[in-house]
Formats: sequence, structure tokens, C-alpha cells
Amino acid sequence: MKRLVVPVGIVGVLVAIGWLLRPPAGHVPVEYESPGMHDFEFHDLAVIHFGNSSAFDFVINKPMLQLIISGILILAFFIPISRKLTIIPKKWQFCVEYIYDFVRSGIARTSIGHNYEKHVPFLVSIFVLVLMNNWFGEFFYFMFPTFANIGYTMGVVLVVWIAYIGAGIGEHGLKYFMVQLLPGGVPLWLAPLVMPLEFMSAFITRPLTLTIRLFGNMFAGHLGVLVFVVGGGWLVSESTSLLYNVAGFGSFALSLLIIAIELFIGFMQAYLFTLLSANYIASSVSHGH
Amino acid sequence: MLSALCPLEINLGPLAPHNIFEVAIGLVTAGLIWFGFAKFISPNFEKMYQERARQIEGGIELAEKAQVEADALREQYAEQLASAGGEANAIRDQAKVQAATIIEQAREQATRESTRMVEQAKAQIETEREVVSSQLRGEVGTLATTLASKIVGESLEDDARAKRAVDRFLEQLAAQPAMKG
Repeated sequence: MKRLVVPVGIVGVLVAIGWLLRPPAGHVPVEYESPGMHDFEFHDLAVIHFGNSSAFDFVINKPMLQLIISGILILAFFIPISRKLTIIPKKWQFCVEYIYDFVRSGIARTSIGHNYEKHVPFLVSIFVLVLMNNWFGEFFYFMFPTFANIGYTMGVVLVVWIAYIGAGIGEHGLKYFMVQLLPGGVPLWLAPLVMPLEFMSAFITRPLTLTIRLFGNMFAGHLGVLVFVVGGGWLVSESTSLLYNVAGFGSFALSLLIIAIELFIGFMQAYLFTLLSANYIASSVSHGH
Repeated sequence: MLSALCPLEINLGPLAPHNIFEVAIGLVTAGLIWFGFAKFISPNFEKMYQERARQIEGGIELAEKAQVEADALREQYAEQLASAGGEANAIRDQAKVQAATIIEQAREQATRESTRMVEQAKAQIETEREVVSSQLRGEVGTLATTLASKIVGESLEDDARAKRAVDRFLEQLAAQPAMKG
């Protein structure tokens, strides 16, 4: 009996709140509109047309501003602190250094190894950019993960693509393409089979998977949060059934958990994105094929 | 444009970017941040890491130097200790030798002194004995004459004869070797 007290109490409190928040009698509920693609479309703040197709419209909207703001914030945060670095870190430096060293030692050194230092700026910048934009999804005012909009993901992935091909050319010269396409130890008669596969894997699959992985996680995560929040909100405020009101309140409560998970996923994806970029660079500059 | 390439209109939905400027802005933003890090931020960090590593290495080096110095000092100290011990031993040995010499010298001197004193005493005793024996000789003559005159009486009152007899007797006495002791 005693064990039932807590769950019964919680249910009781939820029922009480649901009852208190119930719509007034005679309320005609608005039709429920489930979260979907329209939650990922934003109001155009400004549009500049460069042709007939909408594919060439320069649209300023919320995700774009978010991306630009994140860039400004990152540079405004890192540059002043980096100018006043001391051997023994002070409190802000400690925080920045923690992030920087997380990428430098945790990702760059372990993945690339020899001569990793010159790739650290790229990896740190990618990491903080992706992390910040992912966390915008749970951050008040922004509340949207920028990379749930695939165009920006593609842009960042293009930079990664340029970075690892550039790293390979910087290391091997034009021989890089040979090194990448025909790994050492492969007999020459297998080249016609291996080279297209390697080409696909190195230059097409990598950027594609990077894009889809980051975009998909952010998109689905944001949709998941929306389902709990929008659905819960509708159930609490529109439904005339007390049971649904209570369930809506429970859904609200659970959305906090989902948001916590989203924060973790946002970090996880930023880490993974950076780690994979580092691995691609490592495979570009490696001599041990 | 897409429909011209593909026979079927494919709606990519959220997988299609809304316009190419999204991609461009993504690329430019990421590129600019990369540039910012490469140009302004990372050099400072790398410098700081190098400086930190240098200081740590410097600290280790300093400690090593101190260790070497300490070792040298300890060796020196041990050496000094050893040499001081040796010196003390040498001094002790020297003192022993000196003491032995001094004792030897003292003994010699004492022996010499005692010999000298014994000789002196002997000489003195000899002299005294000479004096006593010459005195005794005079007295013995008188005593003997007195005794003899008492024994022989008036017969020996004749001075000349008596004198001869006494002289004879004293000559016999002188001829005898002096009594020892």
C-alpha cells in the first residue's frame, strides 16, 4: 500500500493541475495541427531575387541570422580571450581552454597524430560552430537548431570537404588523388574495381553522410521536441476531455526530458562531426596506405 | 531546372535546400570562423601551449640542475669528511710517534742521569774512604804504639828503636791492599 502513495500522489497532482488548466465550458477546440514541415519554414525578413527560380532567392530569415550570430559570437568570444592567454589559466580562460583542448587533444591529436597542430584551428572552429548551432535548438529566443535546415549543413560540410582534400593536396601534392584512390598494397589489376569505389567513398559518400547525419539528427530531434510541446499544449489548452488535459500536462513534463536528451544529442553530433572530419583529414595526410 | 534533368519530379522535401544562398552562407560562415581561428586564435593558443611546455620543461631542467649541484656538494662534503678523518688519523699517528720518541728520549736521559749520579757517588765514596783510611792510618799508628807500649812497658821507651818498629809496621800496613767497603 505504502508504495502506491507516491505514484498516486503524482497522478493526483497532475489531475488537479489538468483540471485547473482545463478550457472553459463550452469551448470549441481549434483543430489540432500536428508538427511538420511548416515548423521548419520561417518568415522571410528580406528577399532579393537573382533570377526566376526561387533557388536563387537570397532570403534572410531566422536560421540564417542564427548562423551569422553564432559566427559573430564565437569570434567575439574567442578572439579577446586568446589575446590574453596566460600560462596559469584564469577562470574564463579555463573555460575556453577546456573547449579548445577538448578538440585539440581529444580529437585532433588522437585522430591525426603527427603534425596535427595545423589542423587544430579548422577542427575547433567546426566543433564550436556546430555545437553552438545545435544548442540553439534548446536555447531561449533561438529555439531552432540551425542545421535542421539542410542548406546550412551542406555549406559547412562543403568546408569540411575542402579542408580534407586541401589537407591531402598540401601533404602529397597532386599525388594525393592517387594515394586516396589506390591504397597501397592493392594489386594493380584490381585498380579498375577499387578506384571507383574509393572515389565514391572518399569524395561523395563522406560529405553525403556528414550532411545527412547532422541534418537528420537535428531535424528529427527538433520534431520530437515539437511533438511533445505542441501536442501537449493542444491537449492541455484545447481538448475538452480532462484525461487529455492531464496527459497534455504529462507531455509537457516529459518534453523537459526530451530537451535534455536533445542537448546531449546536439553535443554528440558536434563531437561526431568534428571527429569524422579529423578522421578524413587523417586519411588524407596519412602515408601508411 | 531539376525537372528538365529528371523525367520524374522528385520532391526531396526537407532534404532540399531552400536556395543556394543557404549553402553559400553556411560555407562562408564556417570558412570565416576557420580563418578567424587560424589567423587570430590558434596562434595565441599554440604559443601559450609552447610557453607552458617550455616552462614545465624549464622547471624540470632547473630541478635536475639543482639535483646535480646537490650531488656535487654531497660528494664534496663526503670527500672533506674523508680527508678530515685521514688528517686526524695522520695527526694521531704522528702524535704516537712523537710520544714514543719523547718517552725514549726521557728514558735515555734518565738512564744517563742515573749513571752519572751513581758514578759521582762512587767517586765521592772513594774519596771519603781515602780520607778515612789516611786518618785511620795515623790514628792506628798512635793507638798501636800506645797499645804496644802498654803491653811491653818500659822496654820500648827507647825512642829510636820504637820509631823503627813503628815505621816497619806502617810500611807493612801500606803494603797491604786497602780494605774494601
